[in-house]
Amino acid sequence: MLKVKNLACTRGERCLFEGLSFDLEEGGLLHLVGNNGIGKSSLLRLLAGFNTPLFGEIDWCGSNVYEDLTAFRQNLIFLPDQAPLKKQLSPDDHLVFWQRLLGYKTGSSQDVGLSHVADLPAKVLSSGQRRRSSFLLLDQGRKLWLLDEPFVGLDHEGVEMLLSKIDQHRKEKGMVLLTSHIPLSLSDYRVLDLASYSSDEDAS
Amino acid sequence: MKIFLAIVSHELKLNVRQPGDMMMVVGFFLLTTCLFPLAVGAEPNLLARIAPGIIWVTALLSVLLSLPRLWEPDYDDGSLEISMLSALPLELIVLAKILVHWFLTAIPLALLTPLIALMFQLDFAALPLLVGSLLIGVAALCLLGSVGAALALGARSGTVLVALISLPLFIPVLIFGVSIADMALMALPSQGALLILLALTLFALPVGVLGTAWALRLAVSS
Repeated sequence: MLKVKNLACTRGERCLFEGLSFDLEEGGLLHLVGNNGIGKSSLLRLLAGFNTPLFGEIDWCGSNVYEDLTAFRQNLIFLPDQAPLKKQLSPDDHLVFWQRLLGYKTGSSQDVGLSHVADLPAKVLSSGQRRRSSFLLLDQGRKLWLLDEPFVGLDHEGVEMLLSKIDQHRKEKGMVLLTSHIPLSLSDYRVLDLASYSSDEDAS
Repeated sequence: MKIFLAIVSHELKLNVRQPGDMMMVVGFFLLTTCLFPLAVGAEPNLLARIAPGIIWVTALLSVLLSLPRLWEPDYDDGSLEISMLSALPLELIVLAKILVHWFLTAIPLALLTPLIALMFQLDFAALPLLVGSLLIGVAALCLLGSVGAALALGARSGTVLVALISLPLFIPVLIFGVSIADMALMALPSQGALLILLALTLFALPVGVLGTAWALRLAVSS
């Protein structure tokens, strides 16, 4: 499904990684690890088509994603490291807007454990609650989930909730790429250490 | 189309929940125009003659003041990236946002203009043309300024940068916008200037929309 071939990425003047290749099949989970600044977030942004690689190829279902970026992007959802919330809108407002913007059919603030604060503006929510609100973006209709540090700020119950969401998504043949500094209590996933592709001599 | 309307209603909702931003622009317009009689003296003939110019320059500065909040919040909180994942092309998302921004800036300015005209003892015969030219002209200002605002994303002291990029682009709009009301004041036909202002706004439409989309893609990729 997702095929990455010989990818190299720069940030500013610096080359972050090169020669990166991997495949992600339906139902697959790839856990990106590596030290700070090694290019985990850059890789996720690259896969979402926001950045362009220095060289290399990203294929989705056999065709290069840069041929029709808008069409490819409708297969994925990208969760940035900060929850993309408007401080004057409530989780329910965001849900309604995202459903119309991204064409989602289901989802409710109950699913992410926010039913008691569903109509409070985001500025009064705690960072964990803001994180949970951003999970309203996760929809089975989007095959590829790109999650940047999704566990930061979550309580124990929140971590369990996200893990079960990921589990369910994989059962429905979804794919997940995530970065996290904690080991995942999930079965059957692959770890990709970016340090082995780093252009920085010290890191490898 | 459904997504376009969703963005329009979302933007309106954001501004209704936080009316302060809009009020600030309106307050700036009102207060700044009030400074001119204090500075140039309260001579009715003089004030009536320079009123269209004052109103236009102040409206232009109000638009300039409102520009940073067009793209900066979306860029900062990451909602720009999320909207780029929708099925709607970025160009149309840009158009929807500029449309709402124009509506929320131009309508209050147009509503306040009669009040300010009264203060300057402006000939009321010129008022409809002044208000009309403001409505059309502010659309051009929003479109052109949006490119500047998008280009300044991620830069230090963005507000000043937006002004430096946008002000030169605003000059033709200002010249023809003011001349419409001036000609009406002198009982000359102002149709020509009005048509040129319309043409400028129509020209600003593709430039503003395509330019902003390009600048936003650039901002997101860095």
